[in-house]
Amino acid sequence: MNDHFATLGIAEDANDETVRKAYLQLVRTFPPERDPVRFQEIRAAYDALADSRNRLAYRLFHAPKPDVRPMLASLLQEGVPTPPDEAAFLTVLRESLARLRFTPTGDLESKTC
Amino acid sequence: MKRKPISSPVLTPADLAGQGQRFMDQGRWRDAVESFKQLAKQEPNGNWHPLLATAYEKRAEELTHKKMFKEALILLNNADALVTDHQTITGKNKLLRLTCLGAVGQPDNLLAFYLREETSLQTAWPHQFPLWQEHMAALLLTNPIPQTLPADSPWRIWSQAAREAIAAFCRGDQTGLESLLGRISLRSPYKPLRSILLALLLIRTQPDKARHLADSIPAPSPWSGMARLVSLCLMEKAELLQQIGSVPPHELEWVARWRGITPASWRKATELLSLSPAKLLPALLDKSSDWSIPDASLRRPAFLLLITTPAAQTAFERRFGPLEATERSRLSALRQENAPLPKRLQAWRSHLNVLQAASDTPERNWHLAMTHRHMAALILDENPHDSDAVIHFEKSLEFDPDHRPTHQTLLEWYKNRHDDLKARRVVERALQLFPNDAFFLYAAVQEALKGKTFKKASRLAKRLLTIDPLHAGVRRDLVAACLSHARKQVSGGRVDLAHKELAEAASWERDEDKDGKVSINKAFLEWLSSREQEGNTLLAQGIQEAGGGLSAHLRAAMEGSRMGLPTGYMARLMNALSITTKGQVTRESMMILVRTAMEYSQEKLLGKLLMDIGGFFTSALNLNFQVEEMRSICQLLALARCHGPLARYAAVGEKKWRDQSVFVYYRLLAKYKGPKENISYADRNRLIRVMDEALDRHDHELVQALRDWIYDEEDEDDDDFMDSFPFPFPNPLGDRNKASSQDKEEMLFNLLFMIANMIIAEYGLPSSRDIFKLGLKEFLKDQAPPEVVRLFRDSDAIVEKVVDKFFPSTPSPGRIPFDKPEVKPMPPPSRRGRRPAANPNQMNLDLDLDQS
Repeated sequence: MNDHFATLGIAEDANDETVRKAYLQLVRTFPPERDPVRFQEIRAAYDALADSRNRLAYRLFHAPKPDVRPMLASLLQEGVPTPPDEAAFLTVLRESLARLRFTPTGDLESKTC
Repeated sequence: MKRKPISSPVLTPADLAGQGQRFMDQGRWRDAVESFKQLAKQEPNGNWHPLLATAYEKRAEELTHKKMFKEALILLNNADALVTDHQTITGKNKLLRLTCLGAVGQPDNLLAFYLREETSLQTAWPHQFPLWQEHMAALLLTNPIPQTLPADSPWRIWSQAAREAIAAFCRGDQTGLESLLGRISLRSPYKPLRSILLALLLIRTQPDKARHLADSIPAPSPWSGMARLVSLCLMEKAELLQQIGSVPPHELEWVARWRGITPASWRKATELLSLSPAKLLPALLDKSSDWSIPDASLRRPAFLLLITTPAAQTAFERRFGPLEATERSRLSALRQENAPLPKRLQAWRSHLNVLQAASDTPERNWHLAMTHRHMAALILDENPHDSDAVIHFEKSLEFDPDHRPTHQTLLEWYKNRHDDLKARRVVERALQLFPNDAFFLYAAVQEALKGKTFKKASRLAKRLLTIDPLHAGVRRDLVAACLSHARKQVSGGRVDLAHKELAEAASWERDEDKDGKVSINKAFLEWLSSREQEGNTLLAQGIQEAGGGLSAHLRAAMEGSRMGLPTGYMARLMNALSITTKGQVTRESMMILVRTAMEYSQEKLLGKLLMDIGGFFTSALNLNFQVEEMRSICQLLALARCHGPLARYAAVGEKKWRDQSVFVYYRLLAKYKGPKENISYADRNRLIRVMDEALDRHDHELVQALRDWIYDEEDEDDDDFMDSFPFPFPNPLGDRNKASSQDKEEMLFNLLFMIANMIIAEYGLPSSRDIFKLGLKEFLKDQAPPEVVRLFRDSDAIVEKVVDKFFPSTPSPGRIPFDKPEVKPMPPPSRRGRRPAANPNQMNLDLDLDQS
């Protein structure tokens, strides 16, 4: 399970108001009808951190495997979108075809990588 | 192993033809191929070709099921070579050939064959055809277009348009692409490509539509891999990084570029992610000064990384400043979280010490309370019955008195252990802090009723009902208390006072929730006051409130019995009950009856009443009950000791749900009619098996019922020696997790030493050390519960040590005095949970003490 602080994208010294704002912002971005799994995660994080006493308890005693991805994601710089060259496009298509499985009944199955 | 040839060279062509045909009929395609091949050698010009071709085809089909596509393809080629006219080959061959060509990776041949046979494939295999068509469309993009494809073939036109669209996308020519997409027909097999390219264009402007387009391509489609790229493009950056390892790197780079992520930053992030945890933290801290991420957000993940990488502490402190003493001790404790419990608790105790030395602030007090609660949780996690947890919970309240869940946990704890005094204290303390808390108010009502302080209960109940007017539990409890008081008044001959009690009971009832009890009891009082007519009216009202029918009449009869009505009135009630059984029996009416009867399961009269309405049970026997319903019926019949109906219901249950061993228990209970003296050896073993299964399923109710039946009452005439043992067999390591290994050894030694002394006191010291050691082990195996036996499994040295006390290497003084070493006090003897005498099944349950 992800660290709830990371899920809400807040610092561990965040106050009630910050937690609430972060939660509402995320719920707007990931409403339950669009991304139910993500919403559940956000909701769970909010439930755990909304109250200051619970937040402290979570901060002190929950030590999930730290998620450095949000940190690293901030490393990723935005630039101009570059389309792939044609060869790269067809390579992906070719590999996708190579993942197909053929059954004796003539059906095709796609193997996930 | 190599197979022997099937046919011998001496067989004539006629024999070979007959043999081949026989093999064909038997589905032995490989043998049929061999026979026809031999025939071909003998008669090269015979008319056996179609037969051999069919045998090849069939054998090829067999091989594809074994995923031997290459071999199957060779056989299909052989078949083709034999029969020049393709129409003579079965239609299945075509799909089979297509499958084999696809599986062995011959795209050129596959394309050529497909394009040649497209029409016949479409007719013969309409279900598989669309996916194959999409596959061919993709292949025509990744492979050169076959020369043989006519210039006016739609495939040539479609694939050309698709190629141009891809080229436009890869050039970044959005306008050109949009017009080219218009040239790809929605009915062409390139529709998925059209959706994918469109989705890629819409990723930034219309992400929902892009997602919808990607989702419209089903998983088995050959284009699903491309559709996945669209989904990747729609992911958050952090989520995209999460895909590293599960998606090929070049695909992720492809996605990152199209998302506008600079290649340099993507490379940097992926490099960091590939680092081991030990290197990751210093690397992150070194580079993080350049990032946009604030220190406050970086600190927690960095601190969490410190748990597994202590070496990075210097880098951490360089970046965020020195760790406080409390943080340092918390870090040490968190590092021990996967260690054995004693070590974990020790670490948190150290943390508590550091905290206590810190300055007194509200946050510090919370922190202290939380640490205590955390320790309690750790203890309960290891052993839910360890009372040390309560010490920590109580301690936590000193620092954080208004932590409601802790009060609640403590209350549950004491209530479950029937410690009324402590439960009452917890409730009183909680009520002072939470005066309007419905949970604690109800608990207080229950405690007051238990303590027979009705006025207090009534006062608290009224308070509770102002907060929660619909609280059914408190109303039910107060009504029950008033009814109980009324019965006492009646038995004391004070009917007038009983009237008052019933009036009070009625005041606690809601019209919507009336179950008829109060009206029925009021009716009885009227009868007892010789007001027959009023009584009859009230009884009818009560029966109606109770839902009418059999269950309502059963309630009336049971209430009458509780009230101690004279025989004449009881006969009247029982007669009314018998008459009601004439109605139609349904599953629902049966379950209502069971629920009502369960309320009176402790009443002696219930069994008789249920036997009186035995016809009802017989009629309901074959109704379509669910397993839980059947179980409830059996439970009721067992409690009421109605063994006849119980036997019938258990037999039905056993037959219907063979995996539900509970019905075996009920059948045997009915067979032996309760007492267990006559249980045969076979049935006893069967019951022990039932108990084992129930233990595996965590069916504690059944385990307890079985224990009560076959263990608790048994051995009434046991010898005194066995009775002198401290049962239940104490687990010497009840709190073993907090004990050091040295303490554990000491506790095990003490227990065994005490047992040894008791054995010797009864039987005297055996003649040899080995006999004594064996006897001690056997005794443990037979008498101790498995958890205790398990403790001794790896402690052969302790058994040796105890035996040493009695058979030392130097001449022994004989028996060692009991008080040396000091034996820890044991719980008082109790028969509950006692193990049965040794039997073969039980021996199987226990662990072999010699295994170490």
